[in-house]
Amino acid sequence: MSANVLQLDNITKAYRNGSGKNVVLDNVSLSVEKGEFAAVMGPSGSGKSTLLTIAGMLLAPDSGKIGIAGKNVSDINKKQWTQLRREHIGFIFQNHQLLPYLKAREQLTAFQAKDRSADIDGLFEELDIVKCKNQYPSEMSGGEKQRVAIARAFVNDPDIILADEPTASLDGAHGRQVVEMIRMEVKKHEKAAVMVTHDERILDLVDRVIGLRAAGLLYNNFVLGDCLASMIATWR
Amino acid sequence: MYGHTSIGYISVDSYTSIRTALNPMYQKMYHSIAIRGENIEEIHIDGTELVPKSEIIENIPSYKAEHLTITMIIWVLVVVSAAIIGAFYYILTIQKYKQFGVMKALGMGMDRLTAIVASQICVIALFGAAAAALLTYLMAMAIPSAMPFYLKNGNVITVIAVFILISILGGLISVLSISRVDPIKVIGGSGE
Repeated sequence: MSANVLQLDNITKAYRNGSGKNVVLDNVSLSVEKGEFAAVMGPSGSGKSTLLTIAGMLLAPDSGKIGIAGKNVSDINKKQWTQLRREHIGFIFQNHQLLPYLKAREQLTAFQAKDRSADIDGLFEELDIVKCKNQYPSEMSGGEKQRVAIARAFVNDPDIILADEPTASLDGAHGRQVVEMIRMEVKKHEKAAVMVTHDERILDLVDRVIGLRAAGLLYNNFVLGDCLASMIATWR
Repeated sequence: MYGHTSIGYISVDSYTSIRTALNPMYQKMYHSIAIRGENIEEIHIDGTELVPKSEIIENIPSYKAEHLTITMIIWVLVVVSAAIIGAFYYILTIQKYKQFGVMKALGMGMDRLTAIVASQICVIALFGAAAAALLTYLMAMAIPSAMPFYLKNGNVITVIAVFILISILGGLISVLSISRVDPIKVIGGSGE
């Protein structure tokens, strides 16, 4: 539990499905360290988003333990989830999900907690979106919006970054750029990051790939190599 | 009120000369005297009754009934207008569910969201009330003096304050619906 910033142990989650139960996650365990950038892959229905939702303290598992930044948070009150998310977790959604009526800089200051704050201007510089500071989402390109979303995820200096298919709405080049930026920020600020993705072209940017197959872990702790390419190939 | 009690203004001398012409034995008599000053309650004159102005007004025929009607109309309109603001704001809230889901997912607590809703409604109600007050004052100025219309500032401020309060209360319905928004719906939009 200690070194790992995110620790999920034996997570099980099932949904009611008409007459029966649909087990989405069956005893799945996952641990991510500080400064580690992990990707979670798997076909539709394998529970990737559910895993991310549980890791993000948005959904309670049926059973299993969750540890964030060394603390066991499996049993805390639902009312405390919001505070936990605010202080320890940063989200990057598939479609940036910026608030349409705020300028880029305000997107971050709106969520900034008083006692914790990252250097907003520094983030804008690192992500090369300084010129967007006073623009509204409607004035920015898709890539720029996603980069503002990345900055927003880091604004409260969280321990964990969770990204849900951040490249899905972007073309190849911009998508890769976005993941490069996530990687850069993760490494620079030493966060633990989990990215759910369908895109195998960007797998060289992550430290680890975790595969999920219908209700179970396919492979874990897989260090990148040629094997991976062939594995993905057989999958398809 | 002019319609309820017939009133004519005349100088004492003119009145006396008219009455004397009709009845040479006429003696000047005063039925009532209006007094303005301090410590009026201390005045005692034999054979007189001291009555406050408000009591006289209350007893003018049909004043009470009309006043009650107008007051009721005013307050019903205040409540209805506030309810309209609340209802339209609720519609806006429903259309922004995804945004609120994002805000909740990013850790914004209900206390801040409630403050956001209250302040937005406050601004809307304030602007509406200010515009209404301005129009009313302009209308009052434009009305010919044959139709007396007096607006008391105290009343205006009271009505505006209550209106804003009721509007904010109406916004609580939106707050309730925001509290029920599930941030999970924002993740995994591709479906899983």
